[in-house]
Amino acid sequence: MIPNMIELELKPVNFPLAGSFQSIRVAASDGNIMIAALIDAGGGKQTVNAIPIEGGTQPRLLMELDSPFGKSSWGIIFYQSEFALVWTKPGSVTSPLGYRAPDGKTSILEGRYPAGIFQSPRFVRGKVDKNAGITALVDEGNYRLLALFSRALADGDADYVSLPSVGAGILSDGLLVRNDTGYVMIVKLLATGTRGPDRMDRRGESFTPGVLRSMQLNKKLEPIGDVLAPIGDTHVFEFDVDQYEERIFLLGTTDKGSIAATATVTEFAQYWISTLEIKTPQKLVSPSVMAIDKSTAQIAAIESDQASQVMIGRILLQDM
Amino acid sequence: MLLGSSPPSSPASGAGASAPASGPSITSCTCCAEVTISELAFTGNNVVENDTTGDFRSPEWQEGRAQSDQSPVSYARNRRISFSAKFRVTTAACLASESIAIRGRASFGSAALEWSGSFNLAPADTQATVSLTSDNSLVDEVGIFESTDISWEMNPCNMGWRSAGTTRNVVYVTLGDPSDSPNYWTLLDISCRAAAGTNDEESFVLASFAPFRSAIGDGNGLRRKRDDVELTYYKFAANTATSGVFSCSDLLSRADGTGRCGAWATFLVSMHQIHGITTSSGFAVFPISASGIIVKNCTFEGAGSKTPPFTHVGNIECIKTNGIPGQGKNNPQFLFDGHALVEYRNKIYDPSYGVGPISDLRTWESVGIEGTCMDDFQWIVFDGEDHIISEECSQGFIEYTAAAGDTLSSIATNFGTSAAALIDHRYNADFRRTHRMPYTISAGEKIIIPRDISNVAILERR
Repeated sequence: MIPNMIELELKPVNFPLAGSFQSIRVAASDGNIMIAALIDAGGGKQTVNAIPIEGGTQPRLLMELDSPFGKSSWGIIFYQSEFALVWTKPGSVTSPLGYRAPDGKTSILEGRYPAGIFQSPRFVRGKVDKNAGITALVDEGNYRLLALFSRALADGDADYVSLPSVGAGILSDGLLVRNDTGYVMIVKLLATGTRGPDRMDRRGESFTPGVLRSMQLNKKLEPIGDVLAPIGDTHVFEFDVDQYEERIFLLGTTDKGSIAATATVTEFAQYWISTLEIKTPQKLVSPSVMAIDKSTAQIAAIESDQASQVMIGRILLQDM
Repeated sequence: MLLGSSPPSSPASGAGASAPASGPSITSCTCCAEVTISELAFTGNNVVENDTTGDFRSPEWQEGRAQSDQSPVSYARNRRISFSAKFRVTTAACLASESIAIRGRASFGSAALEWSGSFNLAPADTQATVSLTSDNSLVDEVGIFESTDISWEMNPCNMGWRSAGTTRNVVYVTLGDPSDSPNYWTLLDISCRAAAGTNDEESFVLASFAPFRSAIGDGNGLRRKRDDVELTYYKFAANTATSGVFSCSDLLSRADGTGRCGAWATFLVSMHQIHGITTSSGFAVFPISASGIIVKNCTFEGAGSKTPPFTHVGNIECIKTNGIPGQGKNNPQFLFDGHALVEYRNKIYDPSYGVGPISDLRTWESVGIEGTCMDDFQWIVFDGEDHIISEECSQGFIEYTAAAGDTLSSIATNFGTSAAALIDHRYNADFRRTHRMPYTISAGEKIIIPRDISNVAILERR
């Protein structure tokens, strides 16, 4: 099916303690769709909790994050009833990554890089298992690149490979989606020219507007084809992506509200279609996407101001 | 339009007194064309990057553009300035081909530069472009030229020089060509302004650090050129962001213009790199026998109530007082797990606090570090902002493991103190409790070397 129409819907849902949600991820555990939420526990502490997406119950504590010198960026992946977590432990000079393996063991992910500065960790999305690789931004000299950790994640000594560059620009976020033929890498580059104001999220972290670029990689992580612009040059603050079979779903937060896009990925090409921006009265942060099937993705985001609601919805594809 | 008229009455040297260059008199056209400068596209320059929003556009000068929107340009010292100059025809040629000589003149400090060339115009031509290179080089020193005009003149058909407009671009002259760093505008402006007149690395590095020394404290911070935002160190104290605050590009891209020590260290190193200096580097220091370092100023009251060596409870017995200001910030966050510094030719610079050059790490430590602490952190409010302090603070020490052949006397001597002072110190109460007099130490045993009675360094470079 090649979709001709893409719809995006978001509506507020009341969750207990939603006012203390700092960032969220949509996920499925044992077949149940849930929200994993990073919650401010006071005194500089943060906890990761799980809440059914329909709400109604108190959050279930998954883990407390150890990050005394600042708020963590994090990623989570569920596989059946197990979960793995990665988070930043920003210090004054360095920013190592904490890792919780599916068996519950925690460690520093990349002990072999003691001076490392790692940011925006994410698990590889799409066709993965509980030992999914992890991408993160890493500073090398004056430049920032996207790195992939895929081996020995629980050993405390994982090494990374640098992913290909999409061209000129300052990298500020990125992720990998895995499929049968390789990967799709989607990155955010800081916008050039006139740039709107940053947006602050519920953790107090700010996001500078940027543009998204997409590159297809083979199984050896080598580039295939051209660098594409999934949503043109629309500026986004944050974004998330997931994949179901050959269908990719993307959600981004923009100055007006949100923007959604979808792509069909073959062995040698990616074909993107996108929506216009959808206006929302709220400023949205922490967008999250989970593909359900080839025509539907569950999405969520948080309203960033004092009212702090969780917005839940779907990306729907229709064949005209 | 000149029709058989007399030559101009005030010609430039050597040219204006002659008769019109071509064509019959009275009933035919003499040279008619006139031009004015309309664009300059510089070449051979180091393109200036607009503080992470992209390179400044070319042509760097364009007719009709506001002066504030003309792009800055950057050349290394001793270089000639080249550009492609476009002229707009203001009066069309009336002959089939009219030759127009053009020249531009400007003085950049003691360097007088001139560009000269010519082109031919046909009646239908509306513009002409010519590539020009200055006859002389820029001066042999770092500099910034903000109000230097290039005065353009034209000499159509040798009838005499007349004005063809003026152009002005801010010209930054660097020590060398950029290496390993984008040529960020803010870095250029700070460094070329502060180090103007220098032409060797050491002088440049010293002079270009001066703005960092004076930019400490609220409201005094360095300014980002693209939007005049103040650049700060831990602007929001313990609530300063943790994403995108570790690098030079972070300082220049974030709307709030704040960064951690790593951002300031890479900022300074990048500032050197845009001048071709590749021998400065950032490095980090960490506490040797503790989890955190406490920057001055804090008051340690009494002997402390906790078990040595972390004897003082933070915010009760180790009291924060007005501290060392950082870039654009009074009382930035004062407790860290490490700190980033810069080294150039064995001298240490601390751009976060505007301190340097310092001869060695030991001196830096004595100037800036109050003590160390464990990782039992708590949040407090100081000066109206959230800060982190520890439940377990110390005035500084290391835990020394005795080697074979060590004695208490040899250890004490090595650290600039006496065996008696070492043993009697409150931090070694546990040693006294577990050993009998006369005290001795065996290989592999540990003893605390307190900072307040010795010359011990409590930080190490990694």
